[in-house]
Amino acid sequence: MGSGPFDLSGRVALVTGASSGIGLGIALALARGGADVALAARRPEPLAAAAAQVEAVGVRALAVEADVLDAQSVERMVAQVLTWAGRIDILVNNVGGSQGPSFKRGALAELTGADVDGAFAYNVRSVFEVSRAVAPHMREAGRGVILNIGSTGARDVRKPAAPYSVYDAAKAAVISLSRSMAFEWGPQVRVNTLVPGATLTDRLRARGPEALEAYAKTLVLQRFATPEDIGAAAVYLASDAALSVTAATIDINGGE
Amino acid sequence: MDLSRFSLEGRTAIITGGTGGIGLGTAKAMALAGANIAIAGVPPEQLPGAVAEVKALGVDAIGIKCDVSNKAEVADMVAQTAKHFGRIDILANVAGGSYSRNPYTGEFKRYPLLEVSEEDFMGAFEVNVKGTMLCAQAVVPHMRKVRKGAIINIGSSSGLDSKPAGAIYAAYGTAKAAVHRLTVYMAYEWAPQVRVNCIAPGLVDTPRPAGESRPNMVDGASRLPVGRVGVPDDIASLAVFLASDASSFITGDLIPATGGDR
Repeated sequence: MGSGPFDLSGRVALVTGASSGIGLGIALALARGGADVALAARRPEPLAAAAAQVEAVGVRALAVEADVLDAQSVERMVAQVLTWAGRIDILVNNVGGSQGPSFKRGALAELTGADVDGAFAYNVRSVFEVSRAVAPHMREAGRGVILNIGSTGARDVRKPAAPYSVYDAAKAAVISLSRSMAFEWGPQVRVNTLVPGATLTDRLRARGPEALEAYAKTLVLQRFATPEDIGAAAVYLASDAALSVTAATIDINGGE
Repeated sequence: MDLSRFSLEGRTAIITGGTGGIGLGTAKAMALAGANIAIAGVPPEQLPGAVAEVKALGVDAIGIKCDVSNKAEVADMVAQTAKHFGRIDILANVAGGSYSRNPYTGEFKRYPLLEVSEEDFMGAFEVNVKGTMLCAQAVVPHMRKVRKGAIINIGSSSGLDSKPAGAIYAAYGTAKAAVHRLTVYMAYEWAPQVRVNCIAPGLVDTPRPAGESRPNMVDGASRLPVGRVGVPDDIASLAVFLASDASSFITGDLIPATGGDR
């Protein structure tokens, strides 16, 4: 297959939280699709290793140390990518998570207001900060794609459950924010949300092979998603194959 | 560059409603991705031209006359495809429409609910729901033989939880909502070998059957975040993604390709 509708050659992508797991999977998939990739994360060592992996695919890669909760750091990150590549065609807001240094997860009765603020800052404000820094450049260029990450518990296909209640509420906000961005920043910028199911990353592998096997057997497809599976959906949505898809939420959950 | 997960090389795809519009676009997009194609559709006069267009892309293709609401014709479609290609990997259920009866074989008309006859109301379910069901039911044993298969159903923005598009779409929108839900049941029942997903197109600029007025594409475009109405390729490239290994963890999904509309 030559340069089909999924070809990302000549495009420039910025992926936040790109050092490992789903973020790295998406960065590698976009690279295999032909895009140059800027990888952003806080910790320099894993970031450099991830950038080397992306470069090994045969595209250009840039490692950018950045804190997406710090507006000044975000501005520097975007400027650095623009200096490097002159454009940003694809933004993947992968930073997020159910717990962090400043907030914990748990049953609702165990959490404080600070935990809620922390979860919303990490998952929602991060998306807001980076997107509003990148979107004007996309709109000026006349083209751009933003991909955000939701959670299965934020979809009506799964019952919400502790300890993820506040995380899922934040991810529901991300899905809503994505739709608003799609309407405010279209037609130049398309904005969609990817919702990964249980994905085989180091965090899941830490449960041990026996527990994993037992878990997999309970799943409709009897396996986990791989970071590559999430990456392949990102390639589709980032490409011209998806020109009519915006304000959409795509579940990559194996039917769960 | 390695986009091999998006390739359909060596696969066989059946495209119902494949003689024109979204169906023919899907057939050509899948052919460009490397799949051999069985085009099923009515009227039969349009089959040779569609087959020639697909063959020109360098793959093998056959045309089969098939009214998808007729179980015997569906069985024949599947048997002919299996005999010619030796396998069936992909089914795109594109046959369908917003008319009460097949415009090629019957009267063409849509009705508000207070005017629709029992027969015309149920007519919307014949092709859209029953046709989708009959074709899927018939191909699954073949897909299980090759341990893998992908079924792509076509729903509609008029079957989403949006403000209704207009009274005349009541039967159609209700039938397409049924297709959305049917997709989920199929995905669960036929996992893990067969994946089943549904595309909900919005307004797509396609050739319309004689007698049907063309919707106002300029008004349609102005209310969409993407600023234009859909073209068959928009739906076709999503169908290629959903047919390919690039979507191997996606099943039971409903993906709107509506330009952002609901």
